[in-house]
Amino acid sequence: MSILSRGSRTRRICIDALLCAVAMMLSYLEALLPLNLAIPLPGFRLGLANVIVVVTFSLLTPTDAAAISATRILLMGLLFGSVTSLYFSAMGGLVSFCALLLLRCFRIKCSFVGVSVLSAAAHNTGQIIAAVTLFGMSLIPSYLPLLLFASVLYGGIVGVLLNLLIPRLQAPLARVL
Amino acid sequence: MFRTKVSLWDWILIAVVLLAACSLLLFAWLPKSAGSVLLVTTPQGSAEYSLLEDREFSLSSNGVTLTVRIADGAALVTESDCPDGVCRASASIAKVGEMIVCAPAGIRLTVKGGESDVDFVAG
Repeated sequence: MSILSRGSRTRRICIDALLCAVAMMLSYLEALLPLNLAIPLPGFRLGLANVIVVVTFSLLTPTDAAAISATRILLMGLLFGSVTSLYFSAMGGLVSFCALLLLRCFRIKCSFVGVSVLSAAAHNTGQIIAAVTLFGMSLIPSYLPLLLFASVLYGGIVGVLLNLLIPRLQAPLARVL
Repeated sequence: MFRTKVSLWDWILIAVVLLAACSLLLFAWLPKSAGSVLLVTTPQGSAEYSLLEDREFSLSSNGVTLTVRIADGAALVTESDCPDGVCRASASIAKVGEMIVCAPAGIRLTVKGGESDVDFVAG
């Protein structure tokens, strides 16, 4: 279902830009959190910005979600990161988005819990693939399993929150957007 | 597009991710043979050090300095001023194929097997 089934292209661009700004804000906020105290894995992210992509994918269209994801990654990389971090982020975002597309293609009827877990796992897998292309094979066995366990935990928490929030947000969002 | 009530598919997806994680863990725990040579690869070149001789040395690259200690047939990064700390947090490596990587420095330490009758090869 698409909230944007009505409305002009300009309106759609504005809404996507707004959502992209929210995603960037969440990304920045996440970078401020001292995650290393809770999970001592360098490079592990809660993926708060990915929540916006998942919600957009569900409530709007996959094209909007792709545009928001790509713009957010590019802008955050240019503003706050390096070429390497941009590459890692882009690979994570790409694999994560492919996972969402697979869910849609196969019409898998899961809730936001399954989506968040799969999306987080795919994101971390994409980042490990980026690391392997730069540094070689030995990172996979030691690092990826830990990231996958952590993504099940945090993806599950985010998914449960989305399951609670989305039904309550749909009506107000439909009025505003 | 997605539902808001937990369904069987959610548990299936979680199980798939956990299964993948466990499979990779098992792969990591496969027994490997002990190595005898430490290959150090930096952007400037590579060098080999024997793991059979205890020593400590420093490596610098891309503005980052690492201190590597070889003791009891294993290598470990004891000090590093790199921003993310993966190399410092890595366990010591002793088996063939094990690796410690410092991404900001572009330095890779790999354990290789086989005989080495040289302590240092620059190249």
